[in-house]
Amino acid sequence: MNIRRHNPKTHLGRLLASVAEHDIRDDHDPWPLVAGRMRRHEVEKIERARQWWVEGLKLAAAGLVVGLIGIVLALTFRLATDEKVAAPSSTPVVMPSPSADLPSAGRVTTTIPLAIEGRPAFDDERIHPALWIPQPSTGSLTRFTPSLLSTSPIPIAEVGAGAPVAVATTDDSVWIATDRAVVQFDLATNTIEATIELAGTPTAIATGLDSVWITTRDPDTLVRIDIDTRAVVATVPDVLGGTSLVVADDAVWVLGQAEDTVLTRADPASNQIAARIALDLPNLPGTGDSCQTCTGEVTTAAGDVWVAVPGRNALLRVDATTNQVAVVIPVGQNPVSVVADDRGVWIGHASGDGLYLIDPETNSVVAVTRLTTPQRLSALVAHDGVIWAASDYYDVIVRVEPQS
Amino acid sequence: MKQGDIRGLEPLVRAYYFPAVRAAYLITHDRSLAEDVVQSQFIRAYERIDQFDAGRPFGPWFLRSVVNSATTLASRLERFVPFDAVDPSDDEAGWSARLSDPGPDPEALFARAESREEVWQALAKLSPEQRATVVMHYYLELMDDEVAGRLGIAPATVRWRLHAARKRLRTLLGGALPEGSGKP
Repeated sequence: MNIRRHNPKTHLGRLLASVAEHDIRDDHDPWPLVAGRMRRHEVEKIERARQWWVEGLKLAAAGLVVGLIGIVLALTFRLATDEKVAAPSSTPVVMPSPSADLPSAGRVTTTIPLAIEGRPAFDDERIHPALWIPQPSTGSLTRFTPSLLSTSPIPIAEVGAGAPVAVATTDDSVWIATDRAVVQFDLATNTIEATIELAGTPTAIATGLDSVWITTRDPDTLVRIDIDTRAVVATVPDVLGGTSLVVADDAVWVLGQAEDTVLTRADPASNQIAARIALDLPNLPGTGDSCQTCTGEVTTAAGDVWVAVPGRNALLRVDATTNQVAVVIPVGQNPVSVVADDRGVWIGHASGDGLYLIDPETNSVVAVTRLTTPQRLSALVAHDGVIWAASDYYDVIVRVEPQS
Repeated sequence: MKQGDIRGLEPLVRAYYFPAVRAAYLITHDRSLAEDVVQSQFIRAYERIDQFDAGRPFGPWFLRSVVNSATTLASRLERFVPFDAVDPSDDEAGWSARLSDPGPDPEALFARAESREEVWQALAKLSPEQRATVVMHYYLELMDDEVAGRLGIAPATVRWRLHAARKRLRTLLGGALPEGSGKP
């Protein structure tokens, strides 16, 4: 890519260059502008830091007063307790890089050519469980039935419900986040049961706690829909840049990637944000450059939350009790997909580094399955002891069975 | 610059400022915003230079951050300020008729100020995401998979966006955009 001397080869490229060069002429030195802006920025930063310290000192003073009052009250009413509370660690444990001679975790038994544009989801209620795959470019949902090796497209956009961007399943339905609504597709009747309009544009969807949870942008929210009444029962504001979410018993975890990478914890009891955890930690592996805009994924396993961070080549284990990053596990280049089953946490990479299996007991990579064809493992689905690995680059999905 | 010396930024600003402003301008359609985005990204680059791999060229890394930031900003602003400054009564059919038959010679077409305005107005009718895809593919001449990696979307989605953008531009520009513009 040559950006200094620009001479595009296509007609449209030349038209764009003509427009840009006509309106933006390099007729002045930009350095004084940028240097001045940087100086103002530095001054503002110092001022913000000063204000932060002042506010911090005020808070600390107030905290000290409150603390002293608390101690006095505790001593007065003999409320002191022997219970010891461990201070949360703010420094995560960084695991060593995986060794080069790891065993294989599985073998590819089937490779199916199939257009993959979003993360698929399995339904379990049929005699033949099916994998449901959103296809935003065609406005359809593809049903793939592995036991029959059959596929059938279901036009969703054609009926005016929007183009599917993400799917999740409950016992009797497939819930489809389209680019403008949430659609309930009834598995018994094979018909659209309901279309629920939302204020924002859906970006990801998950089910759990008798609800469907959807992240939206414009505005950035987390929306909760009751699966029985199909009504929006809560909208949690300021859940920024949601790209992946997972529902646990006591929390809904949303991975957000806007300016910074943030994990948001929403409390399903109050439908409010309980914590925000910054994931752009210093000293992560990787430069952050190679795939900065790839979206990672989040899942739960062993009571904690696991986040694949693509540009930093790491899987982060977030302690669900302390809401802090507890462990940094170096994996391959650009991990973009993550799923958990009873064997551990599986990671798929965008770079061709294969499928990694991480043992939550040891926080280490214990097996690697090298796949010959798909280089970008954009989605992983665990179902019935089998991992389905999908590649949106090669438009295939492969079945990975446990190594016997 | 990695040593924290602000003067290290000077040659980079002189080399990349205007190319970056042009790319941002094509997406935001606002010169002031485009310059603001580029200046902010230079500050951001300076503050996060430790994350940059010195073995790789600065330009593509920086330009990608500019395009992403411009797209985010344009998407936010589009909710409040319509890019399309054309009279709402001026329907697409009227546009197409008025903009068709721009002349047989494509080189002559973009030499005319009027044609630049036509391209500009047609570009404004695309969504910010479509504009970013078009700019990255046609102006910066990135391959589909590079665009996909930098926008964080699937290559198939890039192809779809380009297809939709070309179709719309062709409608808006009438004969100005030949069929063969699909591949560099």
